[in-house]
Amino acid sequence: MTRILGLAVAAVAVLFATMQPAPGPPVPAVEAISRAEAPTVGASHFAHCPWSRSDSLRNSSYSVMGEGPTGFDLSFLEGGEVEDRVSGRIDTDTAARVENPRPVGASSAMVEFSTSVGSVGVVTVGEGLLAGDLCSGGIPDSWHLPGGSTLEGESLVLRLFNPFTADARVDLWAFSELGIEAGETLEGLTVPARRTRVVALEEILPRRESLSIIVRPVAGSVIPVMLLDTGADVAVWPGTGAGDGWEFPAAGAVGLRSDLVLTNEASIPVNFLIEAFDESGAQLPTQVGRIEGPGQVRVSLEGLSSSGFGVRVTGDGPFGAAVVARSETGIAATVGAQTTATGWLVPGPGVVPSGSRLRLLNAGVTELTATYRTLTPEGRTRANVIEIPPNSVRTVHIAASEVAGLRVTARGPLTVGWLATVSGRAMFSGAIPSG
Amino acid sequence: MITTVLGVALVLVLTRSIIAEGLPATGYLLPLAESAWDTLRAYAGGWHPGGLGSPEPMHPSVGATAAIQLLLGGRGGAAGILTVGAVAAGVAGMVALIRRLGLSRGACLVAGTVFVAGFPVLWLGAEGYWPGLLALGGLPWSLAGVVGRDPENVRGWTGRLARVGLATAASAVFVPLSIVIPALFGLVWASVTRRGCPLVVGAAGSVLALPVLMPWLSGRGVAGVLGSGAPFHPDPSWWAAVPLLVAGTAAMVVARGRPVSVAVTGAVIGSVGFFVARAGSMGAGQETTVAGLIATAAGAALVVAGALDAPASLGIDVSLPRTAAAYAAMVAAIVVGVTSLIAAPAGRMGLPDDRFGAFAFASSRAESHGPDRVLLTGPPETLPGQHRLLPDGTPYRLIGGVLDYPQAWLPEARLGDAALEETLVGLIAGQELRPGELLARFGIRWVAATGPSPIADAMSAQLDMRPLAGLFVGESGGVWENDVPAYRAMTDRGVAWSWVAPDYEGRQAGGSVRIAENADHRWGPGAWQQDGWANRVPTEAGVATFGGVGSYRFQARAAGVVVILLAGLSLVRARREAGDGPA
Repeated sequence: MTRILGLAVAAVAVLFATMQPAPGPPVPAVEAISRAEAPTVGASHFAHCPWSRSDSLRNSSYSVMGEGPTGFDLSFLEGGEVEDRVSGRIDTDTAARVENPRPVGASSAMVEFSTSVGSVGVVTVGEGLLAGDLCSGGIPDSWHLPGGSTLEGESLVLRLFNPFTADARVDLWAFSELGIEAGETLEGLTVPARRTRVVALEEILPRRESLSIIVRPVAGSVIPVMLLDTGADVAVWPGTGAGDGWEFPAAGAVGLRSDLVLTNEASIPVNFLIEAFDESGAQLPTQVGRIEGPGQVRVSLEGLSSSGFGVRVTGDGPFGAAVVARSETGIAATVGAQTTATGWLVPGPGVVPSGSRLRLLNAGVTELTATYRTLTPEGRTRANVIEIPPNSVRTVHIAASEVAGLRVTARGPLTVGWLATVSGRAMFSGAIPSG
Repeated sequence: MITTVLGVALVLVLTRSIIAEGLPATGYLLPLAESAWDTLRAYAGGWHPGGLGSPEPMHPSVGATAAIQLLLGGRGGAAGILTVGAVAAGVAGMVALIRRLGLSRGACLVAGTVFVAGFPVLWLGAEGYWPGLLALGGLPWSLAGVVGRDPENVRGWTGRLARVGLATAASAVFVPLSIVIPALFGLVWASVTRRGCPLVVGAAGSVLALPVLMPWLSGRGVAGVLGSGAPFHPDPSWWAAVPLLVAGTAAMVVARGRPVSVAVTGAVIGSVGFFVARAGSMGAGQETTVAGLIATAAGAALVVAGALDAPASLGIDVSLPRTAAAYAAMVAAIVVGVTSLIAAPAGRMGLPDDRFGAFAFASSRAESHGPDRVLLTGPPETLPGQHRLLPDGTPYRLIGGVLDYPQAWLPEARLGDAALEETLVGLIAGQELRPGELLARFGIRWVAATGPSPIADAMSAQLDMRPLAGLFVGESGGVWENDVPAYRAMTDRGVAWSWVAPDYEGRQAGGSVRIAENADHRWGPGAWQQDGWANRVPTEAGVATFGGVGSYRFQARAAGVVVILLAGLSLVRARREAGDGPA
């Protein structure tokens, strides 16, 4: 009897023991955001500006905006050290403008906000150039920089800014009309801590009509920016992460021939659809296509509209996108907005002496009422209201030179950008979703 | 005599690397604290040094190891003696138990081997769960007391119960829930032998040992003890499990007399223990599953002993199949015994290589006030002792510069731990460019990654923590040093105070000192102020101390008195009952 009972107890216990699954991993209490998943498009507590330029003929201005009142520190790094530091404060409904204090040459800088998130834009104006765009707030796993070229007489430079304490090592994936470009010079580039490395792509990959770069960090982190110098003008645009859809409120302007360049770093092709929107609200022709994986595609936007227009491109997988627009004398480029929002921070429009054009894109099906408020360092604000019909863009001229930024709010989702032209030279810039 | 010689040889073979080279630092096997007396002060109602500190009582094994360290002196030596002593006591105790159960010398020795080196203990060793190894020393003596001959008078009963209680305490102080094993064993043995006495003695031993779990048990509560901590989930290889199953089943079916009683008892204890050890998915915590593993080890040893003596128990009027089955049980038991020697070549009870020696950088790079805190992150198996998890599952823990055993267990998270978690979540999300500035508030001077971790990834994009090139504490890891002064205790004037566990010391001056420990009003001396999640006390005394929790202090002292009392009573009766034989 004892044997049977013992056997039964032991058998049942062993049976149940062997049926027990291993305890599962702890269930997260809340859904956390990892660095790789963190949005790189919104306002943040810091911004990295890998390029500005100042000399006797050119000047760069940093436009600094905050979601709320905040202090900021703008540090210029050179030779591994902070060479200059400018501190300031932004109160409610103000935006700051800081002139580049560095005497000569290109600079890399970073901005840290103390209490509120914010955004920064850089505009460089002077002889032979009008260029600028947003500074980068987030750091994606890899950076897409579509839209370059190294034709005769052009200079294409990739600036890799490493403001951090650890050396970074990156691989560059280059795509041109020849396909994937290979070369030892594109692999294992070291960017020492607190320094900027300049990669002259026109020397490494000369005479490419369309050249896109993807920066993939192997160790550490960098913030890249692309500079395309045609001799008559310079375009600068930041790197971005990949996204499933992009909106470009400022994709085209009268007198400029625009191209949309898309990059895919995955091995699976991405099918895309391009929709265009102009002031008329009319149905413009759509374009579909496919980005081979990995690879790039350059789509001409010429002839879409006789006026200024914006575009939306959506894909069935993540991809990078940039618009590059040219004229005989000017070149402009920008990256798109990865998301729509009801609030936007627009740093920089007042810097350009001849004025700027704020571009608002409503790709939705209902009319929107948007309020744009100009902000100055002194706190003088002026608010205006504009109606944006569905499937259309609206352009607003901003002429006041004291304006350091704009805050746009709307009753529905939209995207915002701006553009400027001076003496035939041109620039496009994006904005940062807020709120 | 032969048994003794073989037993000593077995212990020497199993522990020769520990004897020759000392213990590695791995898992919960951490160096004992520098001052045993100060550890005992902290244990008795003082400040728990784990994480950002707590008034919560420490694990009983911290008090026990400190007390033994105080008696033996030295740190590494005491830990080594304790480990080898526990293994030796485990073998000797199992030999005594099996002998008292009336089985052969061979059964005694093989059972001793299986108990201290079988798969449950090897599993604990591989996990670096040092207290599990230390618990081996007391348990078999406790079980031997349960099956001993019943005394004839009150003095005899007193001594026997004291010995069982003391042996149970010696096991429970390291694996607290092993306290129930003598009672369970008594119940099963009483059922098998149809005597009520073993149940009473086993239960009495468990009850008498209960005070040694104080104040830890009263601080955490029974429910907290049963379910807290990352559970183990032993998964024995087929070559360990199949012979044991064959030996147990065959012995239970065909053996006779004492061998079958022993085999049945072992099978029930071992199988129930195995079920408990794998009950993590049912909510069992670390302490519960460890106790299950210890019970499995004891059960396996009893099964093997019974199976080895199965042929001898049959006599001559037995059928051939039954005889064959008994010999099969014996062979299977021998296989179990032989496979238990798998850890013998390494000679360190299955403990892994030293993992934490590299953490010595904290001492070598410390400033004059001593090492500040290190934030460790990496895969769980590469972190010392317990760890916490961020909401995304990232493991991390703090160590206070010099890694020692009292820090192995982490107390319940308090205000400061929540603030640290929030900081780390922001860091991972890429929202912090200057983590050094934020971590300095916690006294964290270094971030060390013992392997891949989102925290380590985030360190690639920040401005105020310098990577220490060439210093690695694990594969794919790294160490970053804070550029911002990061002191555990700092005065208003920015002067660092030293952590001299469990107190802080520094220069006497006016003003106050911020103590980066979880806020508790018992910090002093003088007027205490809460500074966010931390403490602020006057600097006049040149020392900051935790006043202590009176009830915990009383319980700890009472536990010490009970142990001394049990030891005294055991010694007295041991002389009078030296002739104890099998029951």
